[in-house]
Amino acid sequence: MKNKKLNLIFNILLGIAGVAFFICLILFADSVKYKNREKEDPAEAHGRVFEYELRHQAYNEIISHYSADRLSNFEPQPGFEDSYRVAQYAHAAFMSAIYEAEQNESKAKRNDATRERLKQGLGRYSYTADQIDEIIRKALAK
Amino acid sequence: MKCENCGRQVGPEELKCPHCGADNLFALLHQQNMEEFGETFHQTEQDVAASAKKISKIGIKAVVLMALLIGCVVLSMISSANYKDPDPDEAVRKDAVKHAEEYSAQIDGFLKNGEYMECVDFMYAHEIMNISADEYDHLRNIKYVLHDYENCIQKMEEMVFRSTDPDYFDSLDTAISSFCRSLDSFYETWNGYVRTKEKNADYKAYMEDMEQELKLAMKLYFSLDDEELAAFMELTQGQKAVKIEEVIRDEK
Repeated sequence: MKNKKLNLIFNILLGIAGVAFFICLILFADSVKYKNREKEDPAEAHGRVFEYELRHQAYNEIISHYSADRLSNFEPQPGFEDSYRVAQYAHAAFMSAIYEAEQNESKAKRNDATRERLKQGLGRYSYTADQIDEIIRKALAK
Repeated sequence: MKCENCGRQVGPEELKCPHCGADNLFALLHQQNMEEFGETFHQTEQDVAASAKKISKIGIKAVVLMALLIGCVVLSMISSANYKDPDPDEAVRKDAVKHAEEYSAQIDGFLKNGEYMECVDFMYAHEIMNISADEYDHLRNIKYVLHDYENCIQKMEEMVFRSTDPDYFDSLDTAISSFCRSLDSFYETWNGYVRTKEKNADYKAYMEDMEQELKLAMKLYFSLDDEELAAFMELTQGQKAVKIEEVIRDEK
């Protein structure tokens, strides 16, 4: 009688443990898959998004992505250089009017030099500098 | 032993006397006892074997159960380790503490040049914003002002540079509300540190410069004169948002 009860308890426990083990096994298989997943090249995805944003002149998004990425990478990762330069040029253009109004010559001079350096480095994206300048001009003309 | 009938020697296991043929009662009784013992022994042997069989079944089950439980624990631990991505910031934090002197000098350089955005980005990228190491204790207060300043400028840039393409997602509302929150946060922090704490004297000039730049940025990009800016600053977050949207969307 005592053995029967013990046997029943063991059967129930074995059933529960069996199910738990099965679940653990599935989780384990999934975790191995996760660990060996193919990691997407960040530069490739970033490049696609950058081109898309440029097509729509969404410089706000380029700035937003730049700001978010720069919190981890002060220097651009390979493939991120162009978007960094565009965002930094936009920032320099944005600050130009402020330094001018502030009448802070040293800041203005340094900023202008940075702006020029970035413009020279834009390469095939040099047209973005003109678009950015035009946006700033319009914003200040309001 | 002696035969009870003839008195001659009889073996203890001889059932009858080899001399007179009389029954050897002792041997008969012994044989009977032995048969009974044999039966009892056999029965006990069978009982023990059956019981052992049952117990060994439960024992096997117990071992299997234990193995399953250990398996569950081991698999869970391995799965958990597999899911966990390495913390890249850990090494960055250690590096920041190791190069505290060099990085502090770089931060001072950014501040002196008024390159506040660079300064914040540098501090974030090197985890200086997130560590509470003694080496960076002197930056404890200004880093919050810098953080809010950066948010304000960044959100203003996002407003100014938003896409006007009708096919593109218009995120102006998000940028405006985020700017208004950051602006309030900036002044809350700024007022606390600039006006009440003498220990921020070293950085007070930078804090004031940041505030000056923010005010100029608002005047320039929100088309406000001094009076309008003062009135704007008195508005609630919601009212500020409406006012900014009017200017940016050219609805004034």
